[in-house]
Amino acid sequence: MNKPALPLTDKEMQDFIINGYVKVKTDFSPSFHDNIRQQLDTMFEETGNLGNNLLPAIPEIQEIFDHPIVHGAMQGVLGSDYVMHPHRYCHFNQQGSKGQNFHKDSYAGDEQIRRHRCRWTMAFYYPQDVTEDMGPTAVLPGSQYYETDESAHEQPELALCGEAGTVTIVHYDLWHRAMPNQSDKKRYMLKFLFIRLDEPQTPLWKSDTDDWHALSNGEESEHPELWESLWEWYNGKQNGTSNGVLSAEVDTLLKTLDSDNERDRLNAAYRLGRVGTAAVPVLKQALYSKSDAIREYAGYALSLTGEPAVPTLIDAMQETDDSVRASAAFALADMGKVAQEAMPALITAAQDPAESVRRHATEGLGLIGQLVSEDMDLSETVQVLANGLSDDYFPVRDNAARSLAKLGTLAEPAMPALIAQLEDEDRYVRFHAALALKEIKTHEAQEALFNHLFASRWCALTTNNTPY
Amino acid sequence: MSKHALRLTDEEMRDFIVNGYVKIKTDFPPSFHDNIRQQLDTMFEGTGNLGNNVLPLIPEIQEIFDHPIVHGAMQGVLGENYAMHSHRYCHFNQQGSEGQNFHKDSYEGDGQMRRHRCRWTMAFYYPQDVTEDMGPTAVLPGSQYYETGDSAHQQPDLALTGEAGTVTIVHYDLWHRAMPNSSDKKRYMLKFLFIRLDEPQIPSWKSDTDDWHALGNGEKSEHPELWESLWDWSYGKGNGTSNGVSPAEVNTLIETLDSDNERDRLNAAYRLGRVGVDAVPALKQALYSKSDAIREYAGYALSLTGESAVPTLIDAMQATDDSVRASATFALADMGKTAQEALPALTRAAQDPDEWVRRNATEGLGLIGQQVSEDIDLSEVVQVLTTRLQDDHYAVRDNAARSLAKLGTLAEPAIPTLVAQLEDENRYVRFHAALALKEIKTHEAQEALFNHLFASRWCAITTRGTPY
Repeated sequence: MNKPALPLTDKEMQDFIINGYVKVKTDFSPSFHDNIRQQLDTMFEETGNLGNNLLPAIPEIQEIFDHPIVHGAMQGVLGSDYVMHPHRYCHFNQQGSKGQNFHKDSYAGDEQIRRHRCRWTMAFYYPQDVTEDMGPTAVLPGSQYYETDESAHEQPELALCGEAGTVTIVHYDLWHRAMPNQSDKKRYMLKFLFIRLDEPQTPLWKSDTDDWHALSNGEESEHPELWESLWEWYNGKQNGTSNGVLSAEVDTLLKTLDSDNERDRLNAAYRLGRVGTAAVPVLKQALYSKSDAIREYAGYALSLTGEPAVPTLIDAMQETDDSVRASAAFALADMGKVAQEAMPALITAAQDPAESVRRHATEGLGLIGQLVSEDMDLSETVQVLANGLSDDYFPVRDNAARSLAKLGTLAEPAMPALIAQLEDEDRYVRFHAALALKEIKTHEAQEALFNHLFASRWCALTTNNTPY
Repeated sequence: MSKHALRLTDEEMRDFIVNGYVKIKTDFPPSFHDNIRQQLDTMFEGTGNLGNNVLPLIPEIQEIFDHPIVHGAMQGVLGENYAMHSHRYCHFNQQGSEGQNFHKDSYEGDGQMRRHRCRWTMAFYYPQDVTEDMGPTAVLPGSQYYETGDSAHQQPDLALTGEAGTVTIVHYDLWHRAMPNSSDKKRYMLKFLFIRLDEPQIPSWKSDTDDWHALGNGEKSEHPELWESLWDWSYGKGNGTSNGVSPAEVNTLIETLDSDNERDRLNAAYRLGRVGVDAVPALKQALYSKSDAIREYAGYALSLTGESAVPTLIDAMQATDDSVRASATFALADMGKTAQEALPALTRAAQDPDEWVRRNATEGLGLIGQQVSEDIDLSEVVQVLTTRLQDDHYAVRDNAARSLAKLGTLAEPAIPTLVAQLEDENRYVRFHAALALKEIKTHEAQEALFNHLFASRWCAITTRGTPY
């Protein structure tokens, strides 16, 4: 029973890459949304905000995200096998509220480095019509690649107004806020999180061309090489031929990685990342920098460089400085299968004394391991990830469980450890362990998961007034 | 990962058949139960009694029922493949309460006729020590086969006292009550329901002998033929050789079916049921009686008679009197696979204008259909059960969904309707539809079920105080 999907077009994918959001409208009847809105009223009056338990309390909400137009858009940006994350929240913007400041969200259950490649999204759903005076969610289009307020605020603010049933899917790192509610009406916005499981191999939208330039019709373009390289990534393509940047320019670009202007830093990193082998020696130097910013941007460039950068990054994982090892692990992880020869180094790194190194390494074992050649033996990877499930640091446990989910059936030996983590002290680790059991797909894993899920199954019709 | 089971002995099974309960003790530390008790305190102070949702709210309770001693006992009385029902209730017997009168429970989601063959149980779990002054649950041992208060009350009452962790599994129809709580302590008792999925084929306990007489009747001897026939049924054995009752005695026994004394009626029915083909004509007459009691006891006798009664019962399903058709349907259903030649008649009866006939027929299609010979085509049975998932009467929908669960993989054509009934207006139909999807076991059914279960998955550590 594959859910029907209305896929995005090339143009819509391009807009998502540039602007970081796609706004769609479901076609349920107004009474459908009204029912949800009324149940939210009841929740706030009776129990208060139930946070993550919003969905089992009001399961009709699931239908919004199963709608072909939402499902199709989500597949475009997160791949066909994406999943809903267990963090969700009803943002109640009350009459007379002053709104919020613009911000990026933190990663529930993790504090990841901001990745430009889209592996997490949020979806904002309105169960009532929202006009500009009602305090809609606002976004700063294109700001998903910016870490500083200054760069983000150079983008014009966009109020996401719309009728009940409007859903906006955003890149997780897009700057956003609730605007002031100057009306006399309540405004609910339901925020749900989604995560990518499969690294891109083919376009998962209605693709007519793989040529970015054919689409762009000469629009003004702040970040042409960033956008094009992301387009290629979504298309499942590796870094193409070198952009032929000369060695003199490489030196200039390297200096720009330390510029005060974030946009320039970003463009320099993506230009360096498309030079190829010739830029690797200087990027290696940058990777060993004491400056967090330089290391980070060198990481983006090395990740984009791909295969020629892998040996350098493997070397860097021997460094005594934790930050260098972490940046190298990040860059390798972000590459996906291109970094497959780094698997042994990442296995070692998954047991590193530094939390940040273990975090990126456990994430990377899933990103890379899921697509490696069939002749590679992943049993040690699975073993190390299974050990990572009982790491002291919860983001490592969370990443280990999610990586095991990405490895699918290969993760079978981790089953006992996954079953134990269904009772992890962290709620998101619990979820990712359940997800991994689902993806393992053996009878034994499914039985264990059904036991967990039937015991956790909330009956939305059962309340203290109608207990049975 | 099959759960570990500590199996019942022959003597314990015998005692369950005679007395209707088995009392066991889990070996969790006191702190385990104390944690559950404290969470119950919080529930009553916060939201009040959440009824069926007590399990997702306090998932640790599941461990009680997964304990090898509880699981093993439950397998003994309900077979290897039993399921936890979605009705459960925390009975809070407050300090100073006057207790309850003895009663049998109603069947959640159904108003089934009382079956002597054990297909439903309840389990009573105490999360704190319970002494006699604290208002324990009390039972009337052996009363599970009695419908009248008079017969039941002739049994001495037994207070189920015990330490925290005590679990008593009872035949669903056992008379029970909460005793007065004259202490100054709260008493919680968690009642959970369980249902049999597979009709017995071999003993599901640690059996050394199939000879009831070798075990003796224990200390009691009121209903030797009833008990022995239930022992045989639990063993997966059909009715044995005739008890050689003479035609004259048959006539006397038929008259006794109308006796004022319920115990005598019961013994007469079970003695008649073991005569064999010679008693069928007289039982047929009784089946057409205007008296509900005579029809009911004739039904038990005909069910026990087995194969030689099947043609008579099929004939009776043509009767114009609804009650006769309902009684005949009941008897056929109760027989299980012995009645397999009645499947076409039951398939028609599942579409009968009378609700009671439909109810018993939908139940019977599952009881009989699950074990018929492989050469019997069940596609029409599945088709009819599928249409009954949308019957106007919820008890028929409930039985249809449970019967589809019993048919397992054969029920695959019902998937789309079962998925629709995950949103039935009745909460138990929803559960049985989910159970059927689990038992169908195809990828499609499992995907649909996982969608439902992940959306219904309550996070017990997410509360208003810690919403994410």
